Amino acid sequence: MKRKYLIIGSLVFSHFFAKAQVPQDTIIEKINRTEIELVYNHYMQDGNNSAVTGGIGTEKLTVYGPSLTMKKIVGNNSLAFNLGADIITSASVDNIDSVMSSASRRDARSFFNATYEHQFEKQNLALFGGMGFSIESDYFSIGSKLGLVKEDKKKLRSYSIQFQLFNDDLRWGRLNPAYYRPVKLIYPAELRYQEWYDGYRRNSCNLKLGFTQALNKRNIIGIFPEITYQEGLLATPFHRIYFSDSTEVVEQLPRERWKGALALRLNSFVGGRLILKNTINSYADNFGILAFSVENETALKLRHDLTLLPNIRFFAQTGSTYFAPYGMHNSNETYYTSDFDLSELQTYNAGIGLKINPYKYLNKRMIFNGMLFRYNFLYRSNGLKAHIFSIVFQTEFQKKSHD
Amino acid sequence: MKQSAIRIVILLLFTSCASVKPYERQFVNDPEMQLNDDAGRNFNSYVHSIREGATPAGTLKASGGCGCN
Repeated sequence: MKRKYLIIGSLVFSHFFAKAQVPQDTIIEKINRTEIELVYNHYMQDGNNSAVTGGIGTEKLTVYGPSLTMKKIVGNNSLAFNLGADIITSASVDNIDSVMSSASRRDARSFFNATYEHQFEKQNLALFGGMGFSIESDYFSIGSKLGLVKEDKKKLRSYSIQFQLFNDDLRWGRLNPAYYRPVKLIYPAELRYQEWYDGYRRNSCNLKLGFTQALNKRNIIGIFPEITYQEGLLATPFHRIYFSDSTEVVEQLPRERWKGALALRLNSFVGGRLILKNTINSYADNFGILAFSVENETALKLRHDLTLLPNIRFFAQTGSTYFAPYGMHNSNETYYTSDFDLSELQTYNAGIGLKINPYKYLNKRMIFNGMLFRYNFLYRSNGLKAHIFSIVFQTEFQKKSHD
Repeated sequence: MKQSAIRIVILLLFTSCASVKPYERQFVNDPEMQLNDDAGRNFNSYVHSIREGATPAGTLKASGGCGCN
C-alpha cells in the first residue's frame, strides 16, 4: 500500500519539475516580416467657389501625394512607419503667403507617423499606440493615438476602441527660408492691418469605437461610432468674407465643435466571385450640419489574383447655420463663413479599382503581395469636380531567425 | 416606440448570428471581405472629409492637416 502511494507521489512530484523534452537538434524557426507599401495619390479639382476669395473664384487645385509605409513584424510585436508628402499646386496658395510672389503657387504638406502594436495571443487582444506629425507652411499638427482590438475566442467578433489627440498650430513661417519658425497667422493681404483672432491653436480629440461580427458564412457586419471634440481656432485665417454692405473681413466660427458620426458596414459574399461591400454613414455636429451617405463597392473576382472594384457613393448634407455665399452675410452676425464645404450640398462619387494580388516570391526573401489602381470622379452639387487617382504597390521581405 | 425599434434591431442582429466553423470560413476570411480599407479608399475618405462638411466615421483620419486650399 505504502509503495503504491510512494510511486504515485513520486510521479506527481516529478510532474512539477519535468520539462518537455526537446531534442537537442530541434531548432525552432521564426519568420520576421517586413511589409512595405508604396502609395502615390493624385488629386485634381476645379470649381468656382473658393473660400479664399469669399466664396467666388477658382478652386483649381492639384495634389501630388507619394507616401511609404513600412511595417516590421517580429513575433507578437510590430512597428510601423508611415511618411509622405502632399505637394499642392493651386491658385489660392498664391494668397496664403506673407512674402507675396506670383510664381509662388506651390505648397507642401509632409507627414510622419509611427505605430507600435503588441499582440496578446492567449487573450486575443492587440494593444497599439502611436505618434506623428504633419507640417505645411501655415499648419503644424502633432497627433497621438492609443487603442485596443479584442477578438472573441472563435474569432468571429471583434471590439475596438481608439482615442486620438491632435494639437495643431495654425501659424505660418515654418517652411519659409526667411524664418524656418512659426511667425504669425496669415490673413488675406488687404486685411493684415489688425489681428482677427486671439489664439492660433486648434485641439481635437476623437473617440473611435468599432464592433464587427460574422453573421454567418457569407456576411460580416461592422458598426463604427465616433465622437470628436474640437476647440480653439476653428476658422481659417485667410478665408475672406464679403458682407452685404460690401465690407470685407475674415471668417469667424465658434471656438468649440462637437461631431458625432456612425457608420454601418455590411460585406456579403454573393455566389462564388462577387462581394458586395455596403456602407451607410450618418453625421451631425453643433455647426448645424446633418449628413448622410450610402456607398457600395462590388468586388468582382475575375481570377484568383485579379479583382475588379467598381464603386459608387452618394452624400448629402444640410448647410451650417454659419454659412452664406458671397455678399450675403450681414455685418451684425457673430459667426460667418463662405466656405462651400460647409454649405448645403450633395456629392456623387463613382469609380473603379483593379487589384492584382499574385503573392509571388520574387526571390527567396521577397514576396510581391500585389498592386492596386483606383480612379474616382467626384461631382459636388455646386459644380466642383474632382479626379482622384491612387496607385499602390505592396511587397514583403521575410527573414528566418532561430530560437 | 423608438426604444422598442432599437431593441428589435439589436435582437435581430444577435439572433441572426450563426456559428461559423473554422472549415466554413473561406468566404468570411477572404481578404476582400475584411472591413478595413485599402490605401486608395483611405485617400477617397480623406478627400471626402475635406470637401464635405462631415467627417465620415470608421475611416483612418479625422484631423491633422489644414485641407484648406
